[in-house]
Amino acid sequence: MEKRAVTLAVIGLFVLAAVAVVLGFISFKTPEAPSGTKPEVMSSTATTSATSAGKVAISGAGATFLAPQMFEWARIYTQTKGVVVEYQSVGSGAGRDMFFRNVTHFGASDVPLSKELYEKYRGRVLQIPVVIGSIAIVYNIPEIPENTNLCLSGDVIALIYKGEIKRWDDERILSDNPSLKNYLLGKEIVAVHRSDSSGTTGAFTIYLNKVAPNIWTKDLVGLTVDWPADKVAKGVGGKGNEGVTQVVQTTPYSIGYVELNYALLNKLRMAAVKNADGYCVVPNETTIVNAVKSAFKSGLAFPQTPLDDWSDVPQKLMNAPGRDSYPIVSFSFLLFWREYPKELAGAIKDFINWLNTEGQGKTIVGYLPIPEEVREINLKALQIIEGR
Amino acid sequence: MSELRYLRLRKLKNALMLTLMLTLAFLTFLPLLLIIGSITLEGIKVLLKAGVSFFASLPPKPTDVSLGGIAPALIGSLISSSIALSIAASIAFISAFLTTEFPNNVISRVVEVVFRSFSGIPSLAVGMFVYSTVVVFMRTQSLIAGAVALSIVGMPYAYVYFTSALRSIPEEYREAAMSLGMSRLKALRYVYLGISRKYLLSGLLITFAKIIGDTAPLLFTIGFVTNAYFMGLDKPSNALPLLIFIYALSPYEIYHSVALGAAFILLVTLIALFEIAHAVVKEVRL
Repeated sequence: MEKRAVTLAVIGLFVLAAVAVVLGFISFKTPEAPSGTKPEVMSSTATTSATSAGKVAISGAGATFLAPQMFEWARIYTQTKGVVVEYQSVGSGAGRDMFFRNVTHFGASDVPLSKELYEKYRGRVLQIPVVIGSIAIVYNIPEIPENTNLCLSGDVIALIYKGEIKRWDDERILSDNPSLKNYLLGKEIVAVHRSDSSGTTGAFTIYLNKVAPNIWTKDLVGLTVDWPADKVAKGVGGKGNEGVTQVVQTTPYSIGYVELNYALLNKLRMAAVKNADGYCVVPNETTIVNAVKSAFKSGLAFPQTPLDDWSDVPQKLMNAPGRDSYPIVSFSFLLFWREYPKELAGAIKDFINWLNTEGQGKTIVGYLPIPEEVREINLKALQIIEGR
Repeated sequence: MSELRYLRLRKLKNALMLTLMLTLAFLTFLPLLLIIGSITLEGIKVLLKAGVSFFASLPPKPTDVSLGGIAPALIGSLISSSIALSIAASIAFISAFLTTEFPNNVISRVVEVVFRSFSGIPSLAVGMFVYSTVVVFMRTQSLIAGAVALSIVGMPYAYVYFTSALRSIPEEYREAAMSLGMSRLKALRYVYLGISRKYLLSGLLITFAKIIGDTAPLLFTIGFVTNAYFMGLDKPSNALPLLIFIYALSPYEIYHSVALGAAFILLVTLIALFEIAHAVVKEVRL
């Protein structure tokens, strides 16, 4: 009796394994069989995986911020072009490592290669900005009415995270928000920041250093920061954008910085940020794209090809002038090699071309298409990349 | 009189302690019940909404309305865990047999120490190790790399269960087998396996549960395929716990739903595995 039970269990396990393998092979060979809700997807994967000789799949890894947009692009591209594109969100650092070790075909990073890394891979790696990201300064002050936006200057944000502005009724905050005088009485500020290493923190601190170099010194710029506010005021860390979002949501009188899509999807209150020309600007599609356009027109020298050094671009993009320019914007980059195996080079080029043309019309909430000027630079990649 | 009062006092004490213990026991279980409860409730909702296609379609895009499914992760999980289980179980079983039969041998001692200390290594470190060896060598993430990482994580568990199964065999049986002139392998086959098979099987099942539910070893090794079902054993794939991990951290409601549905399926699988393991062992009579 017992023996039968045991045998049954063993057989069960093996059947399970066998079913798994068989299922795998069935969907591999005749993907029309388990036709679910999206038959068109299956047939397109079929064309790629069935052509055993020229089977091409493009894989990439990197920034978590870029993941949703890459998931969106990868699916649409796979559906329309029949070449499977896959993306893993492992973080900018790990993604670069995978790219440089040839584990994936492309990498994705919230920040461009540093000067050092650029010199190391000079002429071999292409950097292609694909979307504009933006950091929203979010806050939780229950008293402020829905239709009013807190306006903060870069100096004030820096001082808050420095721990020097400790209360919401500080003179330096009130001078930009005279109408809120009565709402911001005597509450202490909780400054929420990332506790993990993050491109968001990198971009945020680059911004603070650019607008307030005397308050936010160079040594406070980086992916991880030893936050002064933690020691002298109420500073709290949160893991990931979702962590900061949650802390801000649940802590009254807190302020935080998150990627725009987290602020939008979680309906956080966003501050207007004072830009170079003194306008208080709220982040939205127009103000963010305008900021990039305005930065490119401002006379600063931007790279001309994907092979150039992009390392100081984030700094140049911040705090752009103009009435409608939101000051905290950044590019997300994809990294490609200059040389690929022959059978892959064509597919990679087509993918880059698609990303800079049709793909730009398929950006999702929180991610903004790059302006024409940048697309032109990116498309030079098609002449640079070669098969070997 | 005083004796009666004493008795009453004791009964009162008994009742008091009993309620205290029950409350404490309940409190320990509460978080677990809440987790299981919420996953079950939310998961069933998701499954009802998505229907059978949840098992057969690809995951959604962030902008999709319909939930899609988790087919690549299901396929990847089943294949990688099955491969991992067969690697882990066979190596662990041979080692367990070795250390039980020759406990004083130097090799046995080393094997014993290595396996016992292995279970303390964080599984993320195992993932990093497999990444920097297998993945970098193969120049791609793959089902095989994921399976290797999982098997390293599962091996110490299998070893601990298998040794305790083999060591639980009463010495008399061992002596009886030897006195009949059986070789050690014959004794294993005709005597030990029969006696300890239930413990071995439950060890196997629990190792499988451990393997199928682990995320960290897969993070850098198996890839994250969402646009194809299965591309080959040497090609990237996906896995249930990985999908849950990545989707739960995204800001999109639709990914949270898919993650909950997947978590429910994983939970049911795990509970079933543990229940079978439990039932198998309970029946044992020597």
